[in-house]
Amino acid sequence: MSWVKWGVFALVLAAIVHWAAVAYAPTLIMSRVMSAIGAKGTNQIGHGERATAASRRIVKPSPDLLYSQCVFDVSRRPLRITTAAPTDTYWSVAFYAANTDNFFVLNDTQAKGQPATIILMGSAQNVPPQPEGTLVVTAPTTRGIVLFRTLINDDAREGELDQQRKAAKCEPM
Amino acid sequence: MNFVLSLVASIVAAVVVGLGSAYFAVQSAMPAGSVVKNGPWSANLAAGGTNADNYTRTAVAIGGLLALNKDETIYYGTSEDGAGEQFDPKCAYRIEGRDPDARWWSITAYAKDHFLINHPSKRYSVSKTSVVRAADGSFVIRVSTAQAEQNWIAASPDGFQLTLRLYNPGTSVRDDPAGVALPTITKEACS
Repeated sequence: MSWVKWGVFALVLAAIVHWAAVAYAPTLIMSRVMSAIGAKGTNQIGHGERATAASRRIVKPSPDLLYSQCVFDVSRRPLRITTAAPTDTYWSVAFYAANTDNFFVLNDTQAKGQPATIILMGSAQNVPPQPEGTLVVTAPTTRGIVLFRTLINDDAREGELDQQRKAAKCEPM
Repeated sequence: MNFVLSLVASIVAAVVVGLGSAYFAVQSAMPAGSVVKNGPWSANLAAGGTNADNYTRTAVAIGGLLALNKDETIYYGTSEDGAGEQFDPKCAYRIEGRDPDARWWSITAYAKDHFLINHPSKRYSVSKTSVVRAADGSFVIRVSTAQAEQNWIAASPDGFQLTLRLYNPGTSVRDDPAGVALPTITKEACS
């Protein structure tokens, strides 16, 4: 082939590499994080320590929050998530798809400060009728992360809030 | 032999150009209209959202994974002062303002690798509930490697960046994220 044809070949290949890198990087990075924080298994909750400079799993952690997390897999059955309801502070539970999208979030104001129950199901699943007030959310991907945030609005309350947030649950139905 | 050499050279060039162009596209990300600039601060309003494109998703995955969507939290970031100059770790910076319109806010310093700065003081951030205000409600925060009296955030001698989080942003922020009053950043003394 002439150098012109090799040049065209290289440009087309470069475009494919560019597209693939941007298309798959979010999923690959999420996959690595899910493997790291879900090392103990999926569909169960874990409670992280308050972030310090030694916290290296997830970029830009907030040092003012307590994070709890659940790597979910709804490929076989839905998941029941129960939030804790730490008092007099901001808290939220956020759902992330495998491509990093934050597809659902509920905070303490929306939950009126009360514990909330959320059923997370796959797109091909159905759930039986649930008690009034139960939220049902469809996950756009079978795997992802549920992240619970509790704001430490006063350092003196850290121990109390740490205990309160541990009432949260993440369990298969 | 020439064929093999040309093939290998083309593939190597394609990978370098493909990955390099992807890197720069992500660094300078982003979809028009989703990035707002407010003084030295900038925010990608598509971060965390379900309508983000893959450039935004990749940028967020690298520098702000598991961000909340803009209705819940807006994340402003900067690595420069109000004059548009990159932060110099040899200098101290003065952040001045009043409470932004949000239920809760914080300003946190991160190292260039996007993790918290390793400093024995563990003074990573100042927030709405920890900041010490003047009688008129205004506050001054200092970011420097040398310890300051109060409202101090430890900087890294290897460089740093700042993130301003606005949890449950108020109407004025949501309506005008590029124009709403945010804390100013001024360079002070340099060593």
